[in-house]
Amino acid sequence: MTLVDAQDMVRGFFGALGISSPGLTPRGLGGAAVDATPVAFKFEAEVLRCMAVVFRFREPATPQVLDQLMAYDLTHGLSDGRGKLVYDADSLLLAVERTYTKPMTAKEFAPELLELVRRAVQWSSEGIFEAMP
Amino acid sequence: MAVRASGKPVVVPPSSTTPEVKREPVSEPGVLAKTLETLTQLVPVWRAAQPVRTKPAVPGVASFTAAMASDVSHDGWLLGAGGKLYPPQTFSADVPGLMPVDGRPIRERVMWVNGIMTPTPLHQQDMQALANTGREVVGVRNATRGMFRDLSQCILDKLDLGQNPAVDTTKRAILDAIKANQPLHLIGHSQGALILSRALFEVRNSLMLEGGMNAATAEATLSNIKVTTLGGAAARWPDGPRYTHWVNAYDTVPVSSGVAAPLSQPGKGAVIRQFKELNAPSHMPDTTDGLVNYLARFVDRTSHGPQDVYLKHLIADDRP
Repeated sequence: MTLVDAQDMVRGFFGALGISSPGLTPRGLGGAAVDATPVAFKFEAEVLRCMAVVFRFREPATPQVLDQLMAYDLTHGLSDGRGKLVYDADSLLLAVERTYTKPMTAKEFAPELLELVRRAVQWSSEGIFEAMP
Repeated sequence: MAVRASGKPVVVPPSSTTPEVKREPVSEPGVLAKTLETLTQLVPVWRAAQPVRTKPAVPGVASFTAAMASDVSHDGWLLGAGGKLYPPQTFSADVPGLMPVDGRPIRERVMWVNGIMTPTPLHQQDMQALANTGREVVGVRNATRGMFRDLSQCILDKLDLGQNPAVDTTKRAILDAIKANQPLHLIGHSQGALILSRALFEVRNSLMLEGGMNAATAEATLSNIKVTTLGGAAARWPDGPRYTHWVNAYDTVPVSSGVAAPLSQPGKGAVIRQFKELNAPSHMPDTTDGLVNYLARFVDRTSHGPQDVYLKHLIADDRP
């Protein structure tokens, strides 16, 4: 996938929602708010990463906290390929993520992103609460 | 101060109901919001066929479309007395709020997050109506026109990823209140309730993930926060804060995607104040400033608007 392909996909996603958007910046970054959930797009190394934000840390997360969250994710089967819990140390985002290496149409892409958002909301409202002691 | 006129209420005094608390996957965006979103796509075509606008769409707002366009740059800003806007980083307690026009005593200070299709002047009118009941009111601008937003143009570097201005501002205000051990009363209308819900979950998660609190302590810490929703679009709320949810049974927003939706989670101990009111639309704006705006005001006038519907019941509840 090229940057142009990724831009087309993200632009198509916005287009499906009736929003005119350039998609991604020339640096391969983009963002959306779906209801009140932020979604971040990041294109690098021929991969488009789509992250629906669960939580944004102010300081780097401690390994203990991340271990607890990841352990909960493993035991409760939330990372089933339709949205994996990840921590992006670069942006301090805890998010559910899907990655794309091949272009796809907005018709295919938009429902997957909306499902990702649902998962992020589930994590934000229940997952963290249940994962922490 | 311009106040929107109401049609005639046709039914039923307020009554209380007991919320049912269950857990269930998140609801879809509200039916109303989806409809408005779809209609947004039709506006350019429709507007091209319209004559020149002859009348303000919202009292005191020269052009609804222009007002919404200029609003985007103030997403997440604080709105205070005199319509003055303050950057999101401002300590919210330092923002002077709108006061009652008749100088009556202030009983409390509240923070109001607006819903969709509410430009700053209309938000200010709603806030003033509440202030006139004896409250100091500060606003948090939620500048969205719909349930979806493109944030790409705001992203300058990696640090901007994952931001949501209105949520972030509200979250900051809640954390400031907790640190200062001060009470805070939040009010959210329509999508503003969704902003509040998200901000409260983020604060609770922050207390647990960054503050090292356990669930019970985090809930107890939030107990100093009071939340009132008016036709709110959020079905899920964290336990801890003290909630009052106002629901018009004829309002599709809370019924389809808020606390009146099946299997909602209104928060432990939440009070749901349900009533029925359906007004005949009156004082509608000119259609030439946007079909979406016209429909939004129609919905406000008939069943969903703060001044047309919800504040009347809130004010009636104030009376001893």
